[in-house]
Amino acid sequence: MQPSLQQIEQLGQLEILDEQEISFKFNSLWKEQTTVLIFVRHFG
Amino acid sequence: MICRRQVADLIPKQAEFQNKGLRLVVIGNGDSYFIKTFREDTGFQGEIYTDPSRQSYTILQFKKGIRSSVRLKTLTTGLKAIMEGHSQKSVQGDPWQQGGVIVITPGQSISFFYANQEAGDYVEVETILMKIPR
Repeated sequence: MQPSLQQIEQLGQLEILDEQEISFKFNSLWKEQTTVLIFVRHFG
Repeated sequence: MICRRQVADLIPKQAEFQNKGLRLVVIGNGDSYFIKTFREDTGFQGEIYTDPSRQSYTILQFKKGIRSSVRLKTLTTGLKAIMEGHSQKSVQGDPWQQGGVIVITPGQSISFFYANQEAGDYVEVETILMKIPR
């Protein structure tokens, strides 16, 4: 089921890490540009 | 195996995403240390991040569980991936967690959403590109 705006806002507040272990908020990804997020199952 | 192929499939299409003004990001759920290995294995030079808490997967209601991970289709897709050289060496992250795709605009509306139904199921890159308005 497609997430609601509320779910997107919740998602936006979560923190993610880059390779250098630097964390930033999810919503910074789509702040300026439409963003395609591919969620993979794992790094297997 | 399958995630690797899914990400490897993105490589030849990266320019198309760019031409459509889209930022392409891969999100995993393992330790951030494994991003580098995953990048080397897939050859994907784009953006890769991780959410080790997997809270994002929960919020987006991506499937989780052994039943969604083991199906016949998984085996056949897995075999195909192995034959194409995308074998799964070891799993970093939760093996029972399924993924999916979401496209979010700066106005926080959703242009595309797909939750993988089982291991081996994922939406083709062409489909994503086709479904997103320019």
